[in-house]
Amino acid sequence: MADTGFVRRGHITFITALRDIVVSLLPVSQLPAQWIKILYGRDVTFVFLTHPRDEKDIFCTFPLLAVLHRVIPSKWILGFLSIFPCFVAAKVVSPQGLNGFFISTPLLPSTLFQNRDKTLKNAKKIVQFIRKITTQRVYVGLAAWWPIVTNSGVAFERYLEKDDRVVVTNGHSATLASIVLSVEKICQIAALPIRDLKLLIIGVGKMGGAVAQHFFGRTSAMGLVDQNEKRLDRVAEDLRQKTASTKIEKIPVSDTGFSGAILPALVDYHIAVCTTSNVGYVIKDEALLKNCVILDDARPEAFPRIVDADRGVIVLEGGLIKVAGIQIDSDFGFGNSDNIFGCLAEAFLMNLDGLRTLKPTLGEVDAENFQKLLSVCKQNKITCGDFKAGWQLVNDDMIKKVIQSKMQLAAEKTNNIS
Amino acid sequence: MKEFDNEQIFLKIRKALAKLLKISEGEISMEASLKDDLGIDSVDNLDLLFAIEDGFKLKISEEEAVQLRTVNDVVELIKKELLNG
Repeated sequence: MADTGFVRRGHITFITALRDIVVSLLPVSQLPAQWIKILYGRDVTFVFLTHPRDEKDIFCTFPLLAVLHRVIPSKWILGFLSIFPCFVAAKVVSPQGLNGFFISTPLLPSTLFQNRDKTLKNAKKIVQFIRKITTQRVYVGLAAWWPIVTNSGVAFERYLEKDDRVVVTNGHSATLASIVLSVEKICQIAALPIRDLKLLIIGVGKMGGAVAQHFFGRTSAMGLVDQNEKRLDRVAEDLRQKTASTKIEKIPVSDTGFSGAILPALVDYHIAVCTTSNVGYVIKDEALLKNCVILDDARPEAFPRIVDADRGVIVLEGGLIKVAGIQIDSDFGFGNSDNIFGCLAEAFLMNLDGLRTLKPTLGEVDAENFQKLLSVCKQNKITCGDFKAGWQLVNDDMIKKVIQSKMQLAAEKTNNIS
Repeated sequence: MKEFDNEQIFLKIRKALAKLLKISEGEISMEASLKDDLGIDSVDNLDLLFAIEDGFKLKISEEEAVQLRTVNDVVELIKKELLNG
């Protein structure tokens, strides 16, 4: 069984951290190409902008700090780190010969969310840093909470010039593609026609809303979960404007009553897609889960990664895109080859496309751009990610067994009622 | 500096809120509570601040942002910031 608290292993050393600090302080807009080659070994064309989920991530990615942490309080370490804009945390190489970096801010989600001034200053400095260490057009994909704290990436436009060679995308189109393709594949594996699918969407913010819009009218039922009742009403009302037979159920939840409301729905619906960014939605006690298939795209993770055939529980890493041959020299909890997060895959896909077809996603997902992204994926044999619960690969038979057992349970329930 | 009166600011804010919340402008009144009536949560609130700053070309501080309770508070804050230049 995989543990939710997986270890992120990174490669920030004292030398690379010092290099990044010095480079960020240098009063130049761009380093000479030879310097970039010497200091970074490559001139990258895509960047995945991420952040630590918690202190543990920082100490795992930056082992020297873990040593210092034994004698220095973490508050001091984090305060010192936050002076600097960002660090190169990992390298990515694609089979197409494209090179990328994972660049991470030292700011934790709480700071990103609560200290808007600091976040925006940090974003500006990160753009400057990326300009310094690259010479070509570079595509930047925003991961985890970065889109949330920058108005879905729109705030980055404040720091970009017209036709800037730094192109920022919030990654929502590829994340949506990942979720859509994964749900379709699960249905295909379980021989469950999409029109019969009962889909639960946990969190109906921008991504959850986009998932709902995509599947409404195609599925038999849709459960919408959110703690914001006004938003729940709006999303449901918006869907009902369309003429379709999909049955909508609104499931309001609260931070304290999340488990009570959500657990029965997880059993009733065939697949649950979790897109919330609300940390109050975490179910830590895995024993509570039974008869459910969850695609967890929430960051931080909302559900423990589990594959348990006896209880019929599968919690899958959500939002993965499979790019055969892509290699990352760091492990973000689901291995380091072939799979990358959708939000980051979008920067990579844009790099492959070279702005010929795709445009960056800033703000909401554009339906036309989304369809084009699916075409670019298809052309390049890029598919939804492997089904993984942490590092554990979940095979098709397991998925089929759990979904079919859920269908049987539902049939028995219906028979008992009638 | 372009001058705005309360009505002009309200109309502009109402438009931004309607777009953000995907509701009709008619549902937004000056007295509406951001949280209770419009269901604005912390994430929406961040987006609203960006909309205000970009729409009116001004800067809202953290301290000012946390004081906002109603649409009227937003209008008054923008007016104050515009007057302060």
